[in-house]
Amino acid sequence: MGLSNIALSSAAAEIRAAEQILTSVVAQLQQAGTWSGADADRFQREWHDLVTSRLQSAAGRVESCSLIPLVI
Amino acid sequence: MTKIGLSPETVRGHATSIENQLGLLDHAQQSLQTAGLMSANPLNYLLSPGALVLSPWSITQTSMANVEIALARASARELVQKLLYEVGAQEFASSALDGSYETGYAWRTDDAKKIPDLEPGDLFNPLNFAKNLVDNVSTLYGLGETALLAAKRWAEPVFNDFKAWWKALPPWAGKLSKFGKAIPILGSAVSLIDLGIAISEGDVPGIIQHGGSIVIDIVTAALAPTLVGGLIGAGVGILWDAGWEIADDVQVMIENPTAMYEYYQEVPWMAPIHALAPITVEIWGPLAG
Repeated sequence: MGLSNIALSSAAAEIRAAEQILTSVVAQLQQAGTWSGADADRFQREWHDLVTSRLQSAAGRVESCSLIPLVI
Repeated sequence: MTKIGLSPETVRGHATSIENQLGLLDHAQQSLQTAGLMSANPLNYLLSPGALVLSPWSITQTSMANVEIALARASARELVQKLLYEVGAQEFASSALDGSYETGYAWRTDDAKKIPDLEPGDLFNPLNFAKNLVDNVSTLYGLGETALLAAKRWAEPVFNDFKAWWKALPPWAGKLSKFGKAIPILGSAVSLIDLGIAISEGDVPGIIQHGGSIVIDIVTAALAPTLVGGLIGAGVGILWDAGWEIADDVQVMIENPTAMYEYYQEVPWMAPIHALAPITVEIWGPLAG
């Protein structure tokens, strides 16, 4: 039994879901208190650059994958 | 500059949520890894001809996606740790007492779990202050009286000079002299209070320390007329008090083996102050409290 497009889509969806929940948790964290200033902005920026962007990119790569029939 | 007004509990709660979400990425990573391996080594997975596998380009894509997820997870954890560190620093700074940046002693907060804290109340408690004042004044008075008696015996001209100087003082000095006679009794009363506290707390070393002080006071008073006996009694009293102070300090050092090192690591500027005036170690130093 080989791979399926459903399995790939499911993996991509898991990555996107995790990314969205993480982004939401970080947003809640910022809204929960009076955390502000340069360090807070840097945290947001670094989170976007190092976490959000990478997960979005990973999901995009998985979505762009294509399956081919095995030939032996 | 950062302005953090977040409660540590909120931050830690969100940090846990983030960690849980990062854990959910495990499944996606494993799926991608398996897909890549199956496609690169179809015979190892007993795939039949016609089964679907990743195209060669897609194998590279899944590998790169896996790396990106791993990097994202590592970065997320690092950023959360930074945030928790900031919160920890905020807690530490908030728990410091006013003036700690000058004296250093209040850096020893509960969070630091180092040497027991010294509260401002311990230093400025009126009752404590009065007790310590009486204790110190009575000690000084005892030393002065003993020195005077010694002078009367072995250096009469000095004694006579002192008497002449004393008589030349204004009338209030005479009243002070009368009050001075009560000081040794007050000193013993302080020792009695300390003994009572030690007994109520079941503090055996304290009972020995303060009980011993009272016994030495009584014996010294009884021997005072012999002069030499009074001098010996005063000397024994001084050694007794100093010995207990030193023993207390040694006990604190033994019970907190790394505390001294950590204290000076945190507040290195206190080291020269303590070196110049060792007594400050007990007031604003690692042995305070």
